[in-house]
Amino acid sequence: VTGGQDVLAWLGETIEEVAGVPAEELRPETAIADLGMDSLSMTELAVTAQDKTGAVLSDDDLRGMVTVGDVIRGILEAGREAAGSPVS
Amino acid sequence: MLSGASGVTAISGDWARDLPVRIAAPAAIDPASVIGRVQARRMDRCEQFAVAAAREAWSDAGSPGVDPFRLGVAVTSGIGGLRSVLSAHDALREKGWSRISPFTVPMMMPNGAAGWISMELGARAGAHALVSACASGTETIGYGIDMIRSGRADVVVAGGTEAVITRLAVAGFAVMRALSTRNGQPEKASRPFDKGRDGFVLGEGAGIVVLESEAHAVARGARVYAVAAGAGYSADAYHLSRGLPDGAGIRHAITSALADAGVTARQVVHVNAHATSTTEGDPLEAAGIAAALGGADGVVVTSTKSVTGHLLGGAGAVEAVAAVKAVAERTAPPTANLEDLDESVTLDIADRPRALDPRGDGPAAVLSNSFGFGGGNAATVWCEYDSAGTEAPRRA
Repeated sequence: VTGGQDVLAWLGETIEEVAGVPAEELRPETAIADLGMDSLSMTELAVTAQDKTGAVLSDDDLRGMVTVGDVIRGILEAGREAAGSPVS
Repeated sequence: MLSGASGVTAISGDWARDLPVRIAAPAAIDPASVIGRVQARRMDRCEQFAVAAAREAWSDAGSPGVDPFRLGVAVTSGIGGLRSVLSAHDALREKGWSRISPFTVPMMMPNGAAGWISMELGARAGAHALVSACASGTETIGYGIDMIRSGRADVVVAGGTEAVITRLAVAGFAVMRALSTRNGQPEKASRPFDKGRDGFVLGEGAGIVVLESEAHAVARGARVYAVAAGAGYSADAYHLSRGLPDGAGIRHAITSALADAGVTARQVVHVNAHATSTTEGDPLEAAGIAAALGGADGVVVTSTKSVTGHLLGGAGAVEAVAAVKAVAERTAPPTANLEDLDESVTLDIADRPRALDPRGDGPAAVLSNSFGFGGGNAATVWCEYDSAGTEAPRRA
């Protein structure tokens, strides 16, 4: 995914902070639930995403995220929307 | 506590520089390091103290196996997560509403600690937090005793916590002239019953006891430190921050506690006094104790706030632990800094550790007093355990 590496860098740090799981252990297929992250943790992550990229993630966006890969894709898409570029 | 070594120090942060009070009694440990980083960042410091203390108490009690719906929690805070409120408010003003932590609300509520402990232990019989300022810890332990007596639970984790050593709380108490300004001699600042006292010192931390029905404790062969014999209450209905002048409210709380415990004044060998080191409060309590116990000859009185400072909603709980240890070890801890006893105080205030000997019929009893802004007075009674006896709940 284009821009995925950038997102992965700070997302890894954030998840490490919120869930205590080392960034290097994260894989795109890692399930959010397996990280011990609940809905409140996800809102923390959404706040960080907005800080970093301007991406605004809705409750529906957050609920739809099952894996780390979903989170990265969601943030990239929302970031492109925030930047005004069409989502392809 | 037995050594009488003061925990009061100069406040190290810059935030106190322009305040008239620049001393406090911070905890010796960082509770976040005990809790674990990930969990700790979801908790206010007062919740961290409570969970850390609950883990210790639970482990000391032998981690009893209890049906979740027979295990309760009664743990409170007098103020709640003030530090979290303040930092959230900073973030709110500086960055906007959406940037505050999603844990802001659970970190500010005074029953947050009870919730965390119930989750930690899987306690489903109830998680309660009675709030009555500085009487909160004692009232909540009293509620825990009632949970067992009324048959709602077999085991209750009970206590109180506080962590408000902040610019706002220090300023708030300082502007009421409630705090000691002995900034040049921190370790001498908390001096209950001493003529030179000039206010209390803010402390922080948590105290937790494990209460258990006698039947449950006996069945599992638990080590019993003391009998949680009863609790009593009153309200001054007089002034929001000053006690009833003749100590009548305090007297009623103590008398009610003894009646509730089925203990006579003659059985009382020791009082862990509320005495915070304020000029007005200490003599009032002394008068109330003397009136309730009929003179109190032979009763050793101590204020452990002389070393811990005042933990507000955590005070009664930490002092309950001290009372239980006094029963179990038959020793009263000293009141530090008692150099010149206030002559209006007619009690025997311990200035060194003192052996406690039974002085009446029945098991020796120890009182723990707490009084709060709002006019609430509360006392708990802790007795020596006689395994042949028939007293109600137990342990700590």
